[in-house]
Amino acid sequence: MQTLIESRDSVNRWLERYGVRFGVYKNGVFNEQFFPFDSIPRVIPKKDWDVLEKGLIQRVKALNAFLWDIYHEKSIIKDGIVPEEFVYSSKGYMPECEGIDPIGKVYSHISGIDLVEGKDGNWFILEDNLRIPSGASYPMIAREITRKVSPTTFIDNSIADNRDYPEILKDMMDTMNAGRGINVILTPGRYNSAFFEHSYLAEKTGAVLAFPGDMTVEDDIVWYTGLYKEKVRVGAIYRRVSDEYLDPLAFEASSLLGVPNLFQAYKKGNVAVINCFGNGVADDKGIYYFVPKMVKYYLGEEPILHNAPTYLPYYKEDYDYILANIGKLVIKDVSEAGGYGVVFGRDLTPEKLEELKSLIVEQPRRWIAQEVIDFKDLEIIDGEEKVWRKADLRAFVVSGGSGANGGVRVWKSGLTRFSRNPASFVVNSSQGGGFKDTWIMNE
Amino acid sequence: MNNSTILSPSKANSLFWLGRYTERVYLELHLLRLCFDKMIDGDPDDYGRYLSAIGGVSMYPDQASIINGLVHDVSNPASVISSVERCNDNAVLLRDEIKSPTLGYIQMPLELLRQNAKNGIEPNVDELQTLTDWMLAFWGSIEERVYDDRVRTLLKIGKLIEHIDMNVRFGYKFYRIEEAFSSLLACRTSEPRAFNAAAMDELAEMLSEEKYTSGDSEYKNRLLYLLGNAVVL
Repeated sequence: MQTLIESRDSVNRWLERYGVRFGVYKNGVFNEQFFPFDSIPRVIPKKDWDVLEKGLIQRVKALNAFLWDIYHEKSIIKDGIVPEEFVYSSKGYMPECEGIDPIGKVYSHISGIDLVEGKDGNWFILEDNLRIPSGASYPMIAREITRKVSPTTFIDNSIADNRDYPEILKDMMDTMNAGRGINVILTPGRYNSAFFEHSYLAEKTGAVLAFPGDMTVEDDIVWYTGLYKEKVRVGAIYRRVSDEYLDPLAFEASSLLGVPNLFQAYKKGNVAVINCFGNGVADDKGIYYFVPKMVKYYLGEEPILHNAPTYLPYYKEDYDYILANIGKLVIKDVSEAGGYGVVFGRDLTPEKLEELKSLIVEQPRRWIAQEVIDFKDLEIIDGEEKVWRKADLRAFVVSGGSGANGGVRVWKSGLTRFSRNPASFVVNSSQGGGFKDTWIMNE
Repeated sequence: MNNSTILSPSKANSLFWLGRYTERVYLELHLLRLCFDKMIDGDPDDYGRYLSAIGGVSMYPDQASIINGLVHDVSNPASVISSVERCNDNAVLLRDEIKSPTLGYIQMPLELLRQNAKNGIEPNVDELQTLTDWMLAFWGSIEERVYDDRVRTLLKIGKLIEHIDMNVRFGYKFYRIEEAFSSLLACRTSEPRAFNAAAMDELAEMLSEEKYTSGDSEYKNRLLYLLGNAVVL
């Protein structure tokens, strides 16, 4: 392992060589940055991973069942498990999706589940990302490089090979594919923050990287248009464009990023849209509170993985608790993402705390509050020394493939992001965080 | 499911321009080395001739800033760094076609030039030669890793158009242009719809040694115009 740690600069040079960047808009200006890599991996022992794997499969199955239910029978609302206002007032709920049967009944084909490990070794789920979770490409390419740079590390340690993600993805796209069309990855374009990932996954899965304008819909079938107007049917679209911009005729009319009439083709079952329209209702920060209840409701099982202790101001008891303890809680705006809209009560002045309380009183549905988890720090190299920093793990669960567990697989890897700021809990790359490889041990 | 043959118009366009810009970088490096060598003997007109041929304007006060500017000045469209930036603009859109290792041969020169420009490092022969080596490696990597005939042909069309364009601008011998044009005609056989037939026919008509050798600036401008319109992507 020491050789790998000493090879950090070499790994970063390789990342540079392969153009592993992400884009950030600051003050309206687009800049591409390298995603800083730290060569000390996060190591997850097999026994821990086995539990995580089962828990993640369980959670994603429940979330997919919830999405089906919400857009069909709505039993979970009727049975009083999830209050209807949490569903219908969610920004991610799309009435247009009512009654649509996605191929294989799978809504969230690629789920990015964010976890943290507590100091006591227990893992907590922080967030479910069921729309367009990004980040898998970074540990994929980092592993490819670290194996080159420090082969002995991988000879001496029995680490699960994570280079199978493209195969898992391709298998899922092929299984979901409608009408034996081609698989495409639809990117909004070069100036999207995750463009590297879109292009890299296209390269590795053999899918066509499609840009806005490359596809059309005729008679509810999606076509990819070639150089001389020749057309090839599209069977599966791994879209990296948000719901509202994906079809200007069905949603945001001003969008130039989508495919006119795509929603109609999807509705008819003529194309797989990966992930499906309307998933935002299930990864809403307010709905997160109910996921353990979904596991019990749909699967009849006890949840294997736990949420961070969460309070909803919607419930009187929680409302009172939040207002009384706001100074020690972390407050999240359910409408924000990417690490934005997250406030630690302890960081606020008394005046600001009062302002926040007023906002919660005015709009209780807009907020959730969580206990601050004392999560395990990970070692990183900062200059010449090792320091400890906050880190999370995004695990990727792929549903709709051809294998066991109903085609649900957890990728034996994940994106470990860390904060480079010693005082910060926010690990997002857009806010200056770095990443590590995640080793799942075979033994 | 066969994904291998479908290519969108925008990707075709990027392939063509990637071919052009990589060739421009290669030739710029070659020509700059010649130009710098001549400037050792202190002929200030050589710099002017270079800029005029490449379509640039004089914007530097002294010899040191000329050399630096022609390599590292991103605001100068005739600089090497500008051409590599344009290579990158097209190459990053084509990762799935040309593959990551090939893209690396654009990323490495780009990073070297950006770093050297940022750190105020004067261009030197090692830097220029390293850049040339990477450009050659780029084409080697295409040969080695890209099997789609259409992708290879579109890249090659761009390369040949740029090659002829630069050779005409710098008044190189006719045989160089004739060889490249002959290759371009072979590309036309495999990808006829990528070409403007009228422009290609007129080029063929104009490109004889006699006409080229005796041609005036109007002749040269017409050639450059036709080259700029020979491809319709």
